[in-house]
Amino acid sequence: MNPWELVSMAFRTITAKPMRTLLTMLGVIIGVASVVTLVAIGRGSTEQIEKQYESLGTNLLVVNVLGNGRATQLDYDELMTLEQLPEFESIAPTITKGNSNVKYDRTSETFTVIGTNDRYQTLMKTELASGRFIVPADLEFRNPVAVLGSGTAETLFGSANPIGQTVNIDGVMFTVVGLLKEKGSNVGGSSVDDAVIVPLETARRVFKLGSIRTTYIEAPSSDQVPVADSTIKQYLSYKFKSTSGYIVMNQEELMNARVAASSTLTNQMISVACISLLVGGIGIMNIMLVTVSERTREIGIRKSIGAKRWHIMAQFLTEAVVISGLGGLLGLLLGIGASYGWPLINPNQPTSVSLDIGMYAFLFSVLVGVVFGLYPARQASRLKPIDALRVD
Amino acid sequence: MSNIIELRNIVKEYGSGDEKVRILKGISLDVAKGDFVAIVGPSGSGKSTLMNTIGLLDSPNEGTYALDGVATEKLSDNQLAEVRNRKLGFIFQQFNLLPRLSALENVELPLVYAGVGKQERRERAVAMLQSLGMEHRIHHKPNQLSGGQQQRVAIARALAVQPALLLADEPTGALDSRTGAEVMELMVRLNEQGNTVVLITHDNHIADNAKRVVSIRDGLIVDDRRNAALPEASGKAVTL
Repeated sequence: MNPWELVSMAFRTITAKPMRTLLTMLGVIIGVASVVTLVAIGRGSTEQIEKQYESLGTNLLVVNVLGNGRATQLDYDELMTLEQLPEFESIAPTITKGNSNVKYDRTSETFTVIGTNDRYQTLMKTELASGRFIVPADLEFRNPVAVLGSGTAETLFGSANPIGQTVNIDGVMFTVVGLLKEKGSNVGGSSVDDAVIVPLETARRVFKLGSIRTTYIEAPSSDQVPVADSTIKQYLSYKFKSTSGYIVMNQEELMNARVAASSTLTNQMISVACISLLVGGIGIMNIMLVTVSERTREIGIRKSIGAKRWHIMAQFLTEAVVISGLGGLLGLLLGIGASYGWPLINPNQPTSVSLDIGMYAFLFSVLVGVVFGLYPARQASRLKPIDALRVD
Repeated sequence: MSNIIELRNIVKEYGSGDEKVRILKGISLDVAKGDFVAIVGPSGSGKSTLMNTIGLLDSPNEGTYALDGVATEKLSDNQLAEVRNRKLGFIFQQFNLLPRLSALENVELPLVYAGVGKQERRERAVAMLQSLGMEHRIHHKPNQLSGGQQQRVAIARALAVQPALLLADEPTGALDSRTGAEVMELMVRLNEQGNTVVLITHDNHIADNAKRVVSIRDGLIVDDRRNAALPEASGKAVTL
């Protein structure tokens, strides 16, 4: 009696009562499908977070000045002097003015205006669609020039070419010199796509903006990030004469923290899904016990013509494993389907289907069949032939 | 001539304490190879218990039983299963075919448990069904067969492993008289071909097909005679 015969025999038995078999499998199907789907969602989230940070680069440090920043101000020239240190690749101080009224022709809309320097483009990994970015001379001469994000340009100009046109930003005229390519959403949802970028000095003078609030700093490589981190903190604590009033965010640490938070949640959900798999196993055990008592006479007949204990044991154990394994397979297919379907319903939640987890979930369901099939199979194998034959 | 069955002082009791009921009260019986023995008795006489003992489906409380030279008292469950498989062919009143299996698969089943390879057991099962005139029904399920056909399949299954003993428990009990007569003819023919047959029945008329009739009543053998009414079998009758 080879394993293949056992399996094909088990198949015939369980397909004789398809509805019961399907209901028996349901727990395992739902369990495996949820594990597969939840893992896909978890991995999708992790990949999404990683991608967001990747778009900025993990060599990035962000310095934020807290409060109104009046007590202590960061000095642009001082910051740019720091750039000469080997642990700093480039530094882009920024001042931001939210809700600025930007007008072109008869179209008027509010956008975020970012005042910064020429380093900003490479630091934020943005690309030009046409024209040029801010250059050092713009800062020096406080030129009234602007670079538009792709979304801004589309709102104001539609498909027309904005280069060389004049826009009105809070009553001041700026010449559009550059247009950025679309970049997609950044960390925290803020995006250069919906911004207007102007020279830092120009912004400060024209809009009477106070101090530098956010400074982007890039280290030459990710190994240099800790050095850059400690240098900038040293500078800031000297400048602020305190360790408070500012925060330095390391992109990699931020990313890891967010990934960890996301996977903690996912792991908790997967644990719950695993419990449902176990409950499914108990369902299988229950039905197998019913099956054994229903088929007492069959067991008696088989024993009378020479079935040994292990023959009966193998027969019923195989049935339990085939039920749970088939349930696992159906659950796997359902889970893969749900993983691909999920982003269609919920576009902000990407999923990443992973076959390795699918394999584990399937193997786990087979294991569930073995564990929960063992007791009923043992009960069946220990029936005395004479008692089993007496049952009608 | 060697004995297939050697029963010595078999006692079988059910229950315990004051409730204890003694069904077999000390039965000794030898059945020679090639014989055809009918065990007759009314219901409650203990003949079914005796049949279960001979069939190794139940074990006695006292006494010894050797089947085809194998002492059975100290065998484990698995060893008993093996002896049943190799030495015994059961023919039941209710046929006891597995309903989900085809005729062929039912006949193959004892060969499966005997560890015979797929190809060989298929050939043997087909040959066995052919010899019983069932070659056109081998893929039918039991519920697609008449009672007589089902019993033929059951007989083919019993013969598949070429057992030392055919053990038939009221084989005609669930059949009409004509089909029953056909099955009994078959039993006689099988015996003539050299099979040792033990037949359990309450019907003296059925018992008349056997060469030897053992009567049992209240757990004891009350009569044991060669069947004089069997004219042509005398030449083949085996003397004890």
